[in-house]
This record gives sequence, structure tokens and C-alpha cells, in this order.
Amino acid sequence: MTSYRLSIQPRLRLIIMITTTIVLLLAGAASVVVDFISLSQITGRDLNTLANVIAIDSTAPLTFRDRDAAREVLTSLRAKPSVVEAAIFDRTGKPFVTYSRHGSFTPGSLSGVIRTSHPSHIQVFTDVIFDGEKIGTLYISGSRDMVKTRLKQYVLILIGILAITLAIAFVLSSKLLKIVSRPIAELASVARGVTQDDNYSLRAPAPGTSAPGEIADLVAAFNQMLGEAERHRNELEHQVHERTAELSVVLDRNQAILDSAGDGIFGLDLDGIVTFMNPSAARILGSTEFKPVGKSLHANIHSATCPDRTLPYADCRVCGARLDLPVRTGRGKFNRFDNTTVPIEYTGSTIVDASGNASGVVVTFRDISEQLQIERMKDEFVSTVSHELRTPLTSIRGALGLLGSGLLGTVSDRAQRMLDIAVTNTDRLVRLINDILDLERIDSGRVDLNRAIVDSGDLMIEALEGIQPFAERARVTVIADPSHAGVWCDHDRIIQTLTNLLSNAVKFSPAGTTVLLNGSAADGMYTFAIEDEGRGIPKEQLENVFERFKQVDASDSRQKGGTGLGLAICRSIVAAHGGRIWAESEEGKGTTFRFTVPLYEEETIALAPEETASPAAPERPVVLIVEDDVDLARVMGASLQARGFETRHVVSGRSAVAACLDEKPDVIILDLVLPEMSGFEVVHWLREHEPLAHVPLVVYTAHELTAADHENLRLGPTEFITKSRVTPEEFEHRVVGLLASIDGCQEVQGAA
Amino acid sequence: MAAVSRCSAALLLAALIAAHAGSAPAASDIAAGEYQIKAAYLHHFAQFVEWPQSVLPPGAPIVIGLVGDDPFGRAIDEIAGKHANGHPLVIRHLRWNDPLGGCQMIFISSSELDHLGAILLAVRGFSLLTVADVDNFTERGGMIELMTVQHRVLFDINTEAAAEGHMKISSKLLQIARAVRGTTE
Repeated sequence: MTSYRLSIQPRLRLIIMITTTIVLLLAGAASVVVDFISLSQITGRDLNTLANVIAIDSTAPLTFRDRDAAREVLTSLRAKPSVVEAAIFDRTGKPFVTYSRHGSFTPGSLSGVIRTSHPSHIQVFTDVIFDGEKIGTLYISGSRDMVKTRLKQYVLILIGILAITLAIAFVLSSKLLKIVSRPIAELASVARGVTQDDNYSLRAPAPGTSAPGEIADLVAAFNQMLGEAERHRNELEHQVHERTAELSVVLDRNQAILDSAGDGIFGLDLDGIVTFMNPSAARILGSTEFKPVGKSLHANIHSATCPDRTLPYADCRVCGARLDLPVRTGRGKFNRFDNTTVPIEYTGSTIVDASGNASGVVVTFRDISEQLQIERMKDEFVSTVSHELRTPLTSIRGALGLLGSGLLGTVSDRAQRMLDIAVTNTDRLVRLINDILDLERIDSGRVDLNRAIVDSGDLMIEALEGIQPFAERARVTVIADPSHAGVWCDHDRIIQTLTNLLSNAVKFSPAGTTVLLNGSAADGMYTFAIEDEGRGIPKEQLENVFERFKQVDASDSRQKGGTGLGLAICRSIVAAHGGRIWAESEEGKGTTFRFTVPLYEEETIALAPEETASPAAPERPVVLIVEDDVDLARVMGASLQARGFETRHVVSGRSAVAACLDEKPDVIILDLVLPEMSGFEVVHWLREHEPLAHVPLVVYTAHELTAADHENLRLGPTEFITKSRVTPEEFEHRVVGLLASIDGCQEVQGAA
Repeated sequence: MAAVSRCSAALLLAALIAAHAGSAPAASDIAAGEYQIKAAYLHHFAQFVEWPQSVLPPGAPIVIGLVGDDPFGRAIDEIAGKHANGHPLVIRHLRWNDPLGGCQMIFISSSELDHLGAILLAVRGFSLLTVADVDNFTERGGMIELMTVQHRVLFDINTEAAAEGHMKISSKLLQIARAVRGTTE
């Protein structure tokens, strides 16, 4: 991987060689230049001296114009090889004698020679002075050849020295560099070994004693570093082993828990995709071959019949990674392998990571088929018991009412007091029975909401008016701050809820405080809020208060005269409306109960038909009471007679039919549970026998009826009244009202 | 007389030519006038010879005595007034029996051939340079003997005689002399 780079030794060697070469070349060049200059100077000086001698020697020949002598003088130059040519000029500048080492030299004149100076020659001109007079000029031309020759020799010597020096430098540097480069090369190879083979036990060999101190330090430091790294690595490996072992213990344990847990457990990611499931989940869902991992729980397993399923995934109470409800429990249905459904009780827990973001969901669930069956049996039992209690209680209450009203003759004051106590307690008992049955009915989904567009402000005022007498007795001020919005709800049920919450608030408010009722619309929902200044609810109980028979203080139930079912009913009603109810409280500073109801949305609502009011009723209309409970029939008869009705009473369905054939009643009051023929059969028969098919009917039963029941029981104008849910006075009022409306209707028809 | 006139005419011509060509006479140019050259030689000899200071103090004139008939004519005037080593040249015409003590150099004319021995004898030992253009002059004790060979004026030198008169003849002069008699270095 480093092959394209020069390693340290060749590099250093190259530097040394280059340096040596440069130094030698510079030194050589300097010495050549200096030598050249000095040689030139010496040559020049030599020539000058020579010229001076020659000039002196030539004075006599010149003086006496003795050419032979002059030539002889110049010929002496032959001893000087550097002199190439020479000449003596007379005082007029004409050549007197000439000399040339090679060939001939025939200058025209002195000035001509001066002009034609030769660059490669050193030319010396010397005046020949004799007796203070210039008698001629001597010219000597010296060759620089010697200088050149010397120069050549120098260069040759220089090259030789250079070669020798480089060779020495090469050998020396190789030896010297090994001292530095070998430890570094070894260091590098060890480093490579460590990184490539992951072998931390390698160590760089200690450099020789000849190695520089820094190199030794470097190797020592490197080895120390490797030691540290190795130690760290070993520690880390050890730790990893330990952690892995710990983790596997934890994982095994968790796996064991998951595998052995009786409850089904799903893990979901943020998209609701199942990431794991335990064997129990598979068992509950019907098959070990059922492999929902990788599929959406919400879309595939969450049953379509489950109310949460209609919500978008993120809002689903079961599978949604909701941060507003980190833990929620409830009941629902899951699809099984064989396409059936299984009722389940679930706990959906949002997994929140360290930064507070949802990272997934764990859904724990168990099969509650058996539990539901038991509950159903229990509910049926309670229902039956309650129902069975309701009829005698109604008659007791009716009888007590009649007695208390003085219609059957005056009683003593003591007896009146006893009667009042009996009425109060009977009312309470009736309320309890009604609440139980109500709750059971709503929870079992058998109740049908009679929805209409209702003004929220009207609801508040109506509830306020209803609670006012009770509040006044408790000396608690109830203020409504009504805001108006169209709410899509069952009027009576919402009034019931509001009344419940208001009475609750009044009950738990100290005298002299205020309860505030207000509301606001947002996001398609209308929120009612009931604020009190009571003692508040501890935080941990805020959810519990909506459970049955759950009160903050167990002693409250009796003290405050509640049934312990009020808030449970409220929750059921609100849930049936698709709303939500919750409590907010600060202990010691009061509580706020809020619940939401859907706002009116045009497209979803068909207008409810309006009933027309009717004028007066005819004289002494006939009421046929079909009731197997003789006592109750008697009480009803007594009260209706007091209202100016004629009453007939039969105890069975068959005799009811017979009575109708004898005399067409103006109103039939029909119980449903009858000997021989049931109330349903009676209605069916009546429908087929005109004109009885349009007789006004009051279905008066202890049963809670479904919408289907209503359809099956409707005859003429029909009222459905549940026993003990209405007071005897209200019962009478509604029967009267029903009759009145029929007459009005007939009158209108007659007029038309 | 006629000979003299002819010679004079020739010398005049030579002097004219010399003046025209330059100050120095052409050695080989005999035609320019033999005596014109010989006159110049006299001047040059004065330049190459060193007299003892006692005889010739600095600045003192070098007196050249022409003994006998004057063969130079006008040519000798060319050198009168010139200097040699700082000494002005002075020319004197003498007879053979005139006292020669005031001269530093004498030119003995060929006319005085008969008196040559007597003259040489008389000046022997004196610092007086003797010059003549007679044959065997140096053999007879003369110092510088001028001769004409192949149109060239040459000279022999007798250093022995010069040394006797305490005069030093420059080696340069000796170098170009045709022959040197006496001790040579």
C-alpha cells in the first residue's frame, strides 16, 4: 500500500547525494572561476613582464633599425609557448618586425592590430621607450589555450572527485542511514502487522545502541502505546464477554418470561408492524402457524368489530404509539386464525426512549371469553334479580305514594313520617336498581341512543334547573355559563350525565362554594366542564373514579346518598356517544370533570320528525292495563282512576286480546312478560285486527328495550316506559299526554 | 671642392627625405645618405653609453668632436641640439692636433687616417668615446668602428678600450653590434 512511495532510506540517501553533488559542484565551480581569473591574470602579468623585457631588448634594434637584431629579440619568444604572435612597430606605427609561432603574421599597421583584437587571446601593447622617447610599440599576443587546458583539467578532476565523493557518500549513507531507517522500517512493519492481522502482541524490536536517541524513544513509546492498546483491548474484550454473558442471561430470562407468560404479547414498531409475538399470543389467536410478524396488528389482527379499529392507527388505543396515553387498558376483539374473533383484554404500552420519543408499542392481551361468559352470567343474574326486584318495588312505591298522598284517607302524623321514610328508602332502592340495570344495558350495547341535534346551552340550563333544588338544600351555588352549539346526542342521556356530574359536584362541595358549568366547541367535539371547589381527587385515583362503586372515600357512598354507579354510567353514556370523559384535579383546590360529545354535522344527521301537540282529551277514556303483577296493576289503576280514567285490568296476554275484542280501549298499558301470550305476541295480534292496530300503546316493562324491540312493539302512537325509572306521577302524566296527542291528531285528521 | 659640393647635395637630399619620412633615418636606406645615418648613430651611441659622472655631470652637454674633414655636412646639424640621457649634444669641428680634452666623443674622419695612431694614443685612458669609419679601427684601439655592408651601416665595438676610459657601453648596443672586441659578459 506504500509501494508508490519512496521509503525513508532511499529518500534520505537521495537528499545526501544531492547535497553532496551541489556542494561539490559549487566548490568546484568557485575554484574553477577563481583559478580561471587568477590564471588569466597571471598569464596577463607574465605577458606584460615579457613585453617589458622585449621592449627593452628591442630599443637598440629599433634605434638602429636593425631588423635582424629585432627579429632575434622576437625569436626569443619561442621559449614562451603561450605567445602566439608578436610584432614591433616603429614610431610611425608601421610594422618593423613580426613574429608568429604558427604560420605567418603580417599586420598592416599598429592601429589595425589594435582594432582586430582577438577574444581568445591576451593582447599586450607596450611602448618601446628609449631615452625618454617613444620609439616604437611592442605587440605580444598570448593564447588562452593554456587557461583552457587548465580548465579542462580542472573539470576532469572535479568530475573524478565528484564520482569518488558520491560513491563514498553512497556507501557511508547506506551504512549510517540503516541506523535511522531500519528501526523506522521495522516500526512501520510492526504497525502494519498490528493493523492488518489485528495482532496487538507484536512489538517493535529495540534499535541498536548506534541509533539516535529519538528513534529509541520513538520505538519505546510505540511499544508502550501498543501495550496500552493491548491492555485496553483485552479489558474491552473481557468486558464485552461479561456484558454478553449478562445480556444473554437477561435475554434468556426475558425469552423465558415471554415464552411462559400466559398472556399474549406483541411487540410493534412505530408503523404498527408486529416485530415479535410470544407462544401464548399464537395460542390465543388459534395456531402456532399464525405468523403475524411483519404484518400490521391494527389492520390484520385487530378485529373490525372492535370500536378502536375504526380509529386511524395512530389513535388506536390498542396499537397506536400514543404518547398522550402511554399505558391504556381495555377490551376489544382480535381476529383468530380461523377467521373467528376472540374477545380480549389488552394493555397497550407505548415504549418511550430516553429522549422521550415513542419507539414502539408492546401489546399484552388475554382471552377473556370465559371471563365475559362469567360476567354475562353475573350480569344476567343481576339483571334478573334487579328486574325481579323492580316490579315489586314499583308497586311498593306506588302503594306508599298513594298512602302518602292521602287519597286513600288520612293517616296519623307518625304513620305519615314512617311512610315518608319508606318512600325515601324505596326511591333510593329504585335508583340503585335502575342504575345497575342502566349500566348493564349501556355496557352490553343494548341501549340505543335516540340522537338528535340538541343545543348545548339548552342542555346546560335544563340540567341546571333540575339540580337547583338539590343544590339549594346543600347551600351550594351552581352557575351555568352556557355556550350554544348544535350537539348530536341523546338528549335524555346527556341530561342524565350532566345531572349526575352536577349532583356529584354539589355533593362534594362544602356549603358556600360554587359549582361552575360551562363548555366549548373544538375539533368536531363539544366539551362540557363541571368545576367544583371541593376537596379534590388524589392523582392516582383520577382514573378510578369512573369505576363501579369506586369512591374516593369508601364511606362516601352512604354519607352522600349515591349509588356509587353515577360516574360509571356517565362514562358509559359518553363512550356510547363516541366521546371521552375525564377528571382533572388538584387536591384541596377542587375538581373539574370534562366530557366530550360530537358536534352536529349536517350530512350525518336526518331530521327527527316533530310531533304535533294536541288539545283536550275526551271524557273518561278507557285504559286497558295488561299486567300480571296484580299489586302493581292495582296501584296503577288507582292512580289512573284518580286522574279520571276508566281502567280495565287483565293479567295475561290471552285475556288482553279478549278484552280488546270486547271493548276497544283508548289506551293499552302493556307489560311484556305475561303468561300465555307475551306482550310481543299481543302487539302482533292487535296489528292484524283493525281498528285495534292503531290503538295508543304504553309499553310498561321492567326490561330495557332495543330499537328492534321498539319497532316490533309499535302500534298506534306508542310510549315506552321502563318500570321504576319514572315516578308514578310522571307515568300518569305521560299516559295522559299520549291520549291527548292521539285525540289532537285525530281532530286534525278529522278537520282535514 | 667639386666632390664636397656633390656630397653636400646628396646629404641635403637625404636630409630632406629623412625629414619627410620621420625623425629616424631608415637604416637600410643607404640612398638617404650614408652620413646622415652615421650622424644619427652618433646620437644613439651617446644614448647607449654611460660616462663617469666626474666627466659628465648631469645636464652637462655631451661634446662630440668631429676630427678632420667633416663628412656629414648638414646632416650633423640634425643631431646638434638633441639630447641623450638628458645631456644636450654639442658638435665641434677639430683638427687632429687640437686638444680633445673637452670632448666626450670624437668622430675621426677618414681624412685623418695618418694621424689615427697619434689621436688614439692621445685619448687613451680618457673617458672619450672614439668613433670612426675606417677599417680595423677597433683593432687599432678605437672603440666603435662604423662600416657599410650591403647598404647597411653596421658597427663593431671594442669594449676593452671603452672600459679603459671608464665608460660603460650598454649591453643592448653590444647586442646589435656586428662584432665586439674585448671582454664580453
